[in-house]
Amino acid sequence: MYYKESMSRRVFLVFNYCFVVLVSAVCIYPILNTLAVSFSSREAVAAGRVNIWPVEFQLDAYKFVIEEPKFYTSFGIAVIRVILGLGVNMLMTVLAAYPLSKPRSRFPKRDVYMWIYVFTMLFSGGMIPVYLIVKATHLLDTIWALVMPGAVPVYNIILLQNYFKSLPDEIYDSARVDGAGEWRILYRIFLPLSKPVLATLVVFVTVAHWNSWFDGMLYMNRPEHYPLQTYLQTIVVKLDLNTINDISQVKNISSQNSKAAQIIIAMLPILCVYPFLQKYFTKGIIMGSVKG
Amino acid sequence: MKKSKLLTMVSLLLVLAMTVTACASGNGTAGTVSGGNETTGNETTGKETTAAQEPDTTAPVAAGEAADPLGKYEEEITVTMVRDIDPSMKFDTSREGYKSLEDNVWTKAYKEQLGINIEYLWTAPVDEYLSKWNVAIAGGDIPDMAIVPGPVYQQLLEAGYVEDMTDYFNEYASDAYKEANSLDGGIAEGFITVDGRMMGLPHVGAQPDNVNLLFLRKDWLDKLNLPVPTTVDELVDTARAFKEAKLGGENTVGLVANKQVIAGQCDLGGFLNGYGVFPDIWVEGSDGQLIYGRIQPEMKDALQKLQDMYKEGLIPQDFAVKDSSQIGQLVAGGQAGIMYGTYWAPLGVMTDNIKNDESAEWICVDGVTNDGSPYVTQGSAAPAYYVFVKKGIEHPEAAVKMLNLNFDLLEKEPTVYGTTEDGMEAIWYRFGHFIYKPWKNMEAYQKITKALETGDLSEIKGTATETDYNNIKSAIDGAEGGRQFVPAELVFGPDSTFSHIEKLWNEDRIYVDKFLSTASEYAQQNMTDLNEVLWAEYLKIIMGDDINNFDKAVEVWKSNGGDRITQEVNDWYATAK
Repeated sequence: MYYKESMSRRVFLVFNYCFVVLVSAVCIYPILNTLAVSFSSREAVAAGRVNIWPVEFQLDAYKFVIEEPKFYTSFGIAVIRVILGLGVNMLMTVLAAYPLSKPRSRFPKRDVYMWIYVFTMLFSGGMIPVYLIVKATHLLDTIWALVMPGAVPVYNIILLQNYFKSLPDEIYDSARVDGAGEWRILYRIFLPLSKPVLATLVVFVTVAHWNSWFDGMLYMNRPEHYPLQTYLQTIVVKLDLNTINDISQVKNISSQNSKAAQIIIAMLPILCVYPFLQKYFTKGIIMGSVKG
Repeated sequence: MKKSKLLTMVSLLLVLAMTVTACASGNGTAGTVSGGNETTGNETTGKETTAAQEPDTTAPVAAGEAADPLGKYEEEITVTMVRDIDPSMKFDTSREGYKSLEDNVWTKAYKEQLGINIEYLWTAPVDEYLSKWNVAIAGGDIPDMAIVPGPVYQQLLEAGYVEDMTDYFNEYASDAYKEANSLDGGIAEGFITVDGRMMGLPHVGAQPDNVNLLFLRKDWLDKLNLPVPTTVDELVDTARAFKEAKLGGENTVGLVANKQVIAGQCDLGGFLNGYGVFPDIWVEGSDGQLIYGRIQPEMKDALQKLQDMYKEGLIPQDFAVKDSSQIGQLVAGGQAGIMYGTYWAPLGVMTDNIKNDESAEWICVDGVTNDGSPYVTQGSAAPAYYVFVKKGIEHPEAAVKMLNLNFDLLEKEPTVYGTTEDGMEAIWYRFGHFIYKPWKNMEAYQKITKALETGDLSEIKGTATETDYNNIKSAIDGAEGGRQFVPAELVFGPDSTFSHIEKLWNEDRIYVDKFLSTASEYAQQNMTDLNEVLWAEYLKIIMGDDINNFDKAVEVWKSNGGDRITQEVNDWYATAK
């Protein structure tokens, strides 16, 4: 349907587009710059001649990364971590959210349990106590130290619980009438109906696991056991020049382009997954949080 | 309804109570563990104090074993360690002796020659080493021995974890280790001496060679027919001439500076030294009291001059927000021809300039002074690391033995245990990877320069390799491919940073930090903040604030804790004199 736009609307649109383009440019510039730096020569980067287009194009930085075994191992660990973390987190989320979504008439102490969850969301033991627990449970220096401390994501449980609540009670009743047990109802009816919100949670969990670096540093006893982001953090953070003890450390000062190459490669997996799940993303949050 | 609410509250309380008790008991266990350690530690010290009183009869030598610096344990022992992993450390899994941290020439040597097995509790990259230690201390995981940074050493010392190693050092240290310890003028030892006892072992290898030198583009000087400046005013003239002649294009700058006082390259440390100001070290004033270099009154004149230079545009206008590698882009890009830096500066951003621009020719000179007097620069000597040995372990002398073996093997077979001919740096694998004979770079320079003069390569071993020699020779001869070694020549060649450091040291023109001890806990917690606030004020002055704010800023520094720290330092100085 065509209708004539008013002058003010057109002015608004022009400004709006300009503004949005500007915002996206600001967001995309650092990525383009990193990309350009990764393809440029070390000298050009050091001289500050690289902007958003590679100067003295070469692939040395990528060659360097490909020959760096630490990058591969940490990449592998990050992938395993995401798979394990995703599995554990989703299992816990679903298993906790389903009973918590039942009305109080069917699950009398529901709110008590809910508050226990919410309590941990508001108050946590802090870094050292958690470290001590991880140590006491002999998880230190294993992949599980990255997975187990955050195994129950309360925020995700609330999201999913609200979504389950929004599904009509009649579906549940009819399934019961047909003789389905709770497990069957969960797997055959509730989960298939919750695909959008589940996709959202998958994105949340994947991104969180992929990006988290601090726990890797905290719980892993060897740099060889670091997941990708922890490893990246150690190479990207600048060497404090005041702590140079030996002349051979100086050569590590500026290899900006190999750092850039590693950042780009680390970004790729998420960049590939994101667009496919993104269509569920906004839909999932809205439908989960707004009832009815 | 009401009943259920009550129930809710009660169960919630119960759960809470359970969590709290769980936490408490957890802490309790941790407490007991570390407490237990301390007790055993104290008992052992008790014994050792007796040993110290009668050193002839009950020297801490294990039964049936003479105090042999490199003696092997009959029965293999295992020591636990932690360490930082430097990015420079590389392994080659397919090569015997260089495979991993646990399997290399050094672990083999410790095992076969000394009977010591090393077990690493954990390792962490350099940047995370400190935080990892903090968690480890909290968790009660203290290794038998380790190389630790200053703040960790201080914490361990105050918690009573550090062994008194005086007797073990006297008894077991080899001549090479003792010689290395004496070469730095007692600096390393001073930092670990508490009430006359050596807490831990001296981390030798810190020498005051981190001085500030001036670097100039010789090709630019020649182009404008200018002499090498010798005073601050001449330096300013030179900077102005460079800028006005636009030798580095439209945006040529005079003197590069960055937001830090001392950063090793592109900093203002050397400029301030030219005014007799020694930032970041403790200086003896005319009254015999120590004063912190940043608040020396001469600083005011230096700031005034910098302010004038900034106003004139001789200093990059955005220097106060950039670090040395960001501002270094000006050097690398050929827009700057004057910079201050330390001994390794030619290997930093200057390297990129030398690669980028075939015509760039840098020279190193002493530095300039405001009154034309001989340039005196500063050298700090605080060891960045300490050798920690845990109190109460069975074989504390194992640490001394391993360090003895380090000196021994590096002297005997540098190409196996140091750097191999094809560049595998086994030197990083050893216990105490930053421990060197002091002035080893100086020694390398001396060996290379001498060999260049005489053509006799027999001395080229140990600290300097034949590869180093050939590289530098090709740079001097202008041989093909020699250009990439020009930065190395500027560090180790005949006219290099170390030739200047040698001259400065021999002429007593390196002012060494007068405070040779670890800072108090109060100082460690507050000094950084105090200095940052002060330096921020100075930066404002350079960028145009009233110069009289200097006095105010110094007052603030003093009253916010600077006076207390100065007092502490002077108390130490009184006892050390």
